[in-house]
Amino acid sequence: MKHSTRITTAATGLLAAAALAGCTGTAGGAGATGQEDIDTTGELSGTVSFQTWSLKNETFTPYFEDLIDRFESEHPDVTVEWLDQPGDGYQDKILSQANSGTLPDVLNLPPDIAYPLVTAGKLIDLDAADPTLAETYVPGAWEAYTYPGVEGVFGLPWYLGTDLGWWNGSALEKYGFSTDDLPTTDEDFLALAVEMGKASDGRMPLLSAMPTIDQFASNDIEILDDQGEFVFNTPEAAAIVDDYAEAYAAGALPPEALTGDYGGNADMFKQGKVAYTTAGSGFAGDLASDAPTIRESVVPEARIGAAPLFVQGINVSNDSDNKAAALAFAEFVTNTENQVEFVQLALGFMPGTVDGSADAEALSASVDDPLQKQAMEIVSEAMTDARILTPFQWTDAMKTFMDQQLALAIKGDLSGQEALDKAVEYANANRIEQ
Amino acid sequence: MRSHRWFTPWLLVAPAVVWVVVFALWPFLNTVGLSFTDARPLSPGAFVGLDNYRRMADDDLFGYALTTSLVYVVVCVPLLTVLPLLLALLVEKTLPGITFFRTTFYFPVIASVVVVALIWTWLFDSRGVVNQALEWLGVIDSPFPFLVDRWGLLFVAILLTVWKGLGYYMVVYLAALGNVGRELHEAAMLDGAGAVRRFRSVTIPGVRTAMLLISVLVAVAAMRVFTELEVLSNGTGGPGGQSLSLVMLIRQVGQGLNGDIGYASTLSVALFLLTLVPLGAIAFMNRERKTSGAAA
Repeated sequence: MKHSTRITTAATGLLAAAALAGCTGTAGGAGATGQEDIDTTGELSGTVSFQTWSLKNETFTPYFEDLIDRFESEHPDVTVEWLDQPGDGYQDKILSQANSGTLPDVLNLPPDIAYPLVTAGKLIDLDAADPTLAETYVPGAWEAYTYPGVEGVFGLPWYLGTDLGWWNGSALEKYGFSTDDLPTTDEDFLALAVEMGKASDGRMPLLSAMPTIDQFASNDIEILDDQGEFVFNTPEAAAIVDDYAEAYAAGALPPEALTGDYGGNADMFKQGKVAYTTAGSGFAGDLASDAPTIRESVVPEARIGAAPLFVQGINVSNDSDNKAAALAFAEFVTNTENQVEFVQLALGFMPGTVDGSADAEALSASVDDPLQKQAMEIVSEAMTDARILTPFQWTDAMKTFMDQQLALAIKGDLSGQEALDKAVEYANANRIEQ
Repeated sequence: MRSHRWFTPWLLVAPAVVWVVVFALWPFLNTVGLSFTDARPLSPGAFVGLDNYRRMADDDLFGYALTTSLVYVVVCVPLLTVLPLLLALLVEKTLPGITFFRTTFYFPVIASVVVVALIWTWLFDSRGVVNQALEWLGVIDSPFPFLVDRWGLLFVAILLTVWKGLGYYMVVYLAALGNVGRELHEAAMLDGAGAVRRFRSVTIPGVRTAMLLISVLVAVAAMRVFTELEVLSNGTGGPGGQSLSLVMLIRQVGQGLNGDIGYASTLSVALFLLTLVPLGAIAFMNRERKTSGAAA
């Protein structure tokens, strides 16, 4: 009996240990420092897994198949296995891959999603792996993959984007407004939104979303201080929130926008329910297929405030068994020639290399549609000043919490200052780098 | 007859034991363990003692979520215990075309809760059918923002849960009512009992076991409500997170690459303990009834 009890105990212990290994996340090594050179000039061989984010479709699949074919013909002993993850739940997928040690060798991560993997030592320091890379890429985008307290650069800039403002000319005219003198500041925009809300009795709002951290940054409100503390609860930011509350009371913002359930600016714009939206230059094509009537009177303009810079990059897993081939493929995907070819399909985006972004006119040379061309020119011009407005430290949980507080403030249940104070307090209590 | 070796019984029960240990016992113990840490998805975290529990006590969002879940239990348990019984009594009669009504009442059960909740989102939108109807009837002057009002959102979610659950529990009651002997009703009628008296003295005792089962199922489901509020509030829990449920809060805290696994585990442990409260209360009430029934 004693014997069986011991066996049972031991078996249970082993099971528990096995389950522990499977159920809990463990940090993957001692961080990303100490990376050595990776030689990609020698004979490469083996298999490289490559993961993209929602890019397997009729537009991009032929591009990636051709890209992989060309790389494999240059390196006959290397096989690239391409997998694509759906847009929804990408973070969760990355998390499960990182936890189970099955991260693909080469993967596509924006800087904010890359950060937790960097701190867990899951990504290669590409600057250390190949010191010649730095001069190839657009400096602002290259720096997007550097993080305070961690030495190195952890992504190769792939494609860069920003957006512009789209106005529904006929909707503005219907309520007595013109597209000749459109606002260029948030203050003027909110004033117009209130007038439009009143004139249309709430039937044609200009606003369809609450203020964001981007908007505060765009208004030169400091988001983080030198110590990494969130400090955006300034009187200026509170005034923006209070202006939104006033706009809400005037019918310039629909109630459902307070829970982010107003379908997204761009969708509402296409449905003719809002008269303004922000979107990339590719929106001209969406309008052609989804809302041709609205497209006839649409006016693209530079976005109000600072242009945000959206960065997508290619990263290499530190768990890769084939780092040399993986790095070579990452460099191949992000070289100027391949990036230019890619953004000719992904209209409105710019290449992440210095040479590729220098020849912006070439990107729109093959475009015949005047509206599309006009939008691309606006984007191209905006890219020169575009900057990353949302810091990587700003997590989804912080955004959700701030949205909850802002919704209360815009409804009139809190002041803008109180809402922002709570948001900042929450963000500082949950800082990810601590 | 040959005797078995000592480990034969263990071998026979081993698959079940392994299943329970790996998929029930261990995750539970792991959650309890994590609730005392500051674990994040890619970091096992350090032991922080009762910090997460103290944080929970001071957390406004936990207070809102607890209120939401308790209101859900308090409202849904009586509604979904009594209304399906009345519905079952209506449709158990053998009348021409009654099958049509039985089937119709069951329809909401087979519909996807996500799809139904999305449709309800459009219905209760500020420009939705419900607001338009209320304005047309003169009940309201301007649209009422059901989906961005704390109690409005909760009202719509509870209405959805009740509407969707009625048919399912009605079927459970129909099965239970089939076991209540017709002769008991006839005897009661001969004794002069009216419809109400027969309902109280014959029908309810006959379906009491089913009532208890339904109360328990509804209480547990209400405490863990998620989908209805998630879809109706677009995952935000409404302005201020005031309409969050406990499960929504756990998801909000723990999801993503930077999720706070430690605190989310603390909330999960709290949810587990809180789920025991309505279960215990219902079991206690049933025990009292049995005791008083035996005494009588």
